[in-house]
Amino acid sequence: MSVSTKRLDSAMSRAPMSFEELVKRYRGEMVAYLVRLLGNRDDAEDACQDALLRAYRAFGRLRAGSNSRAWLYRIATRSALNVSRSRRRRGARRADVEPDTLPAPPALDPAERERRIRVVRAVQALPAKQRAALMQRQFHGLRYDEIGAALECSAEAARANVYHAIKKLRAAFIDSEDVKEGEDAHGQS
Amino acid sequence: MDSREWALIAALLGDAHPSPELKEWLSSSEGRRELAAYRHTMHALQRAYGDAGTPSARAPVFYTAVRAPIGTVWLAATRDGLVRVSFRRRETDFTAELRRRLRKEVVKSAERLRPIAEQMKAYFGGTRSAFDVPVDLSRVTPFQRRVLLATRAVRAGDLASYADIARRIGQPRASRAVGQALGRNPIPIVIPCHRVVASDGSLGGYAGGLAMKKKLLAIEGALSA
Repeated sequence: MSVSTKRLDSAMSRAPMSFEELVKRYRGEMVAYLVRLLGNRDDAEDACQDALLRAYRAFGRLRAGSNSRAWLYRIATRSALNVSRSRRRRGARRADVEPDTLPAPPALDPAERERRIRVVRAVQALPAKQRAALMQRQFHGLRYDEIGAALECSAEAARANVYHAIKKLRAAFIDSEDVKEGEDAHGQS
Repeated sequence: MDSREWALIAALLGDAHPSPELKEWLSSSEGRRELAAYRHTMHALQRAYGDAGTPSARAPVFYTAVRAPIGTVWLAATRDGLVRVSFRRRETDFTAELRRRLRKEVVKSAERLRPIAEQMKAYFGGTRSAFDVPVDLSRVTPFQRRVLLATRAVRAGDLASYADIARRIGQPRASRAVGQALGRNPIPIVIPCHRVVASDGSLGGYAGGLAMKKKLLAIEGALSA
């Protein structure tokens, strides 16, 4: 595990990256991750601002050779949780999903748009840690040890979070969605 | 979670090869159903989240013209949705602005814009009062996006004040900033910034000119012509 981590990080540890380089390399990825985690672009941009500020302050404590990408995911995830918490406290009406700020570009077909809104609602209903683990694994290609580092848990716990998220979504989609492919809809395990 | 489900998810994600037991179960009718349900789940996830935060840089922007009582209305859309509505402009000015601001290839295509063009004609013909098309607001600031989305909810025949919109986005003191954000509305008519007026009942401003604002409100019956 540590061997492959080193190989992956070697490009970065060859020369210590400046904060500017770090931002340049990962900012786009961070925003995409936060869009997926928070379910809309506005909150994601707010969270990204917050995360970059925190990262800037903590940058001096980032050890050379450590996994800066997982480190950024940890900071971004914390910022995301803060943003969604403060939204809830302010009572902002974030409960519903606005089609025009969906993670994926709005689909032209209204039925497909509806379907995506349902998916985003189900994903937003997952516990934050499961949602974060799922997105990191499925869309950002983090390994379970990296997800564990980002979520401050073990690799095994990270993996369990991903699996539980998928299981819950499977139940939610099948409950809410038209299962057209000749499958029936009583798939509780 | 039972171990079969765990193994199924592991195989689906490529974390482990399916064991002979799993393969056997997957060939049963229950196993087939479960596999289909999980695949369906992963596809739905991919469709909803696959393109997150990645604006389609290379895809061109398409545009077309619609004849309207207010003159030619120019419409432009990216793969993600309607990105510009413009009037009282020459075609070359419109396309030059698109190229400059969007940094994309600009392609004329009535076909790509057909749904919105038809809705626009129906709107000016008086048979439609709201638009049902996706909009691409990926190039505006988060604040402006909140303002524009709140404005989109003001229906034809109604008016809202700048202060109303400020309240709706949870920033009641931001009326002036709301006015500025609406002044830079990239999708007028479809995002009906002409329905937003000053609190004292005067019309406020309009990037397309006050006469145009009056004309649009008159078409909608919110103002006598």
